[in-house]
Amino acid sequence: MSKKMLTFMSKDKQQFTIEEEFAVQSVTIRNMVEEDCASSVIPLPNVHSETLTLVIEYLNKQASVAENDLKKFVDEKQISTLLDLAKAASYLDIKGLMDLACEKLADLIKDMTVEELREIFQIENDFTPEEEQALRAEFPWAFEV
Amino acid sequence: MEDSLLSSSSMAKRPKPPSSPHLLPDSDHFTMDALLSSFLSLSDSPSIHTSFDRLIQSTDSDSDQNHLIQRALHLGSLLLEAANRSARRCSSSHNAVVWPLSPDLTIKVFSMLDTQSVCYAAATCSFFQKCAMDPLCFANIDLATLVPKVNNAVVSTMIHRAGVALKSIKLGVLPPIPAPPFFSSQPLVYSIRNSNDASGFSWNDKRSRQGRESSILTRSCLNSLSGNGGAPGAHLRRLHLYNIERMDNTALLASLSACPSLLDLEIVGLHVELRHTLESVSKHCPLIERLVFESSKTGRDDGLKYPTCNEFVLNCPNITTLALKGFKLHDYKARMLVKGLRKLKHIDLSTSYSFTGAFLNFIPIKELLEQRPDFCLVAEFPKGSYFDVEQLTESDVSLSLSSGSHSSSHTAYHSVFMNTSDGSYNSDHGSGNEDSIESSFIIYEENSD
Repeated sequence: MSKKMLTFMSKDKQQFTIEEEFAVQSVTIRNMVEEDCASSVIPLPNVHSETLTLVIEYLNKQASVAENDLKKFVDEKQISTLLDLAKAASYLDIKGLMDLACEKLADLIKDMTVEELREIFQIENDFTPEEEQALRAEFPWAFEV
Repeated sequence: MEDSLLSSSSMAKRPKPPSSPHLLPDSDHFTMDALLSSFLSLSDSPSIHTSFDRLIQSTDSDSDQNHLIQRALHLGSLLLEAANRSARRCSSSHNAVVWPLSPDLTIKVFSMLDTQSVCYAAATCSFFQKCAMDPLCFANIDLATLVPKVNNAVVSTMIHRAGVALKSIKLGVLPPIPAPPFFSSQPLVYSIRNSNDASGFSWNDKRSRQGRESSILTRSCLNSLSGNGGAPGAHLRRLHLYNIERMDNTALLASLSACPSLLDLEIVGLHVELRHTLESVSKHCPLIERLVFESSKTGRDDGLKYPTCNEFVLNCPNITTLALKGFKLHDYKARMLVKGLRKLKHIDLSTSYSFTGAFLNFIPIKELLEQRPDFCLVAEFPKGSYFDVEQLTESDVSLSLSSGSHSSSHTAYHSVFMNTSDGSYNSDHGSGNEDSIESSFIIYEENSD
């Protein structure tokens, strides 16, 4: 009995196949399958092939791997990868992957000062000096050394 | 373009320039844009400096020179402001690229952070600030710190931000030790007198701070729970209060009355009476499942009355975990608690005293363990206590007895706990038999003062 396969196409026009039974962990995909729009190639214009590779890896693993081991899926991933994964998981509505990626991001953010956050995430300060001052004055206890 | 530059410099060379500057009419955008564009395309500082110097020197009167200088300062600052504004806009756009998550997704990440990290994130950039203001980021307010740092205003603001999303509050001053496991006789009470923290927070400091009311937590720190029609308190599940010196019975009662959904209450080192607290809890928090109460005046709170216990047992049937540490507790009251709270699985009476253990004789232990598997009792009984060891061993209960090793002038205490392990009877005295016991409860020995 051959398993039903689905084909995704990433933003950069690469194609990926995946068994339907794994793919439908994505609620977005499941809805498409139920509404019968999933017969030909499914375009995913928001997801780059690098990210889509990881998403498919997760979907395939999710069925067979224990939850504790699955947590390791987000270990040793670069920050930009984690962000892309979270975004793709949100777009495809894959709760497990979204939770994993968000938790990992939260772990990274925890215990970081403002300067460290800006450095690690390459975020630039776009506050006026007055706004920044007001923020620090709102919760002075947090910014006390 | 060169013409306009020349004409403006020739204007400056006139003997008496007009006192009011020749301002461009507002509608002349093209000229303004053109002028600005050519100014910005000037080559760098040396030429601007020397050109301005020449301009000043060629102006005769002091007042005209001063006027030019003021214009330069004013226009300079306008340009600086405009440039900063644009720089911020560029930064915001850049941030949207390096942090591609939507506000909802960002809020989801922030809601997994502790309170201090949320504050840091909010101060990082304007997008984070916007997201960090969402109620979900303050659902679990954790303001328990190692030294007094937080005041009423901070608590109010956060409770207000959380609104109906508020689920848990931890507030106060923690003792300078890592969070002890549930069964520990290390008192969590933080006393100003025995604190050794590096900030050198001395008794004298405390007195001098009393004048500055706004810098510490006072009895009204939880008033916001009742605000807004009681909306914030309505869904509060967990409330942990540590060593808030100024909290009193009335204030605590008011707070508890605003929290009908409370499941988990932990009170350590507050100057409140057990009786009043239990009465409040019985009255206002029927859903409660976990209650940990550690006295601030070890040994002096003996106000727990039988009717209070009775009411508590009747009104709070969902209690599974109970800790009453540092109280005077008679056997019959202990028995009522153990027997009457039907779902009670973990009871910790360490550093409480005045019971002998005789109450255990009146509880059908075997039945109890059948109904509530993994039941665990932690307590300290005086040596030569009256409970019937045989009854316990007969019912296949693992029992460990250890006697206090440093007796000094105090009576040695036995620490007892019982649970349903594999049924192996441990005759090991005093050593750590954690290995042979399924649960992870630690045997300890302690003398209370």
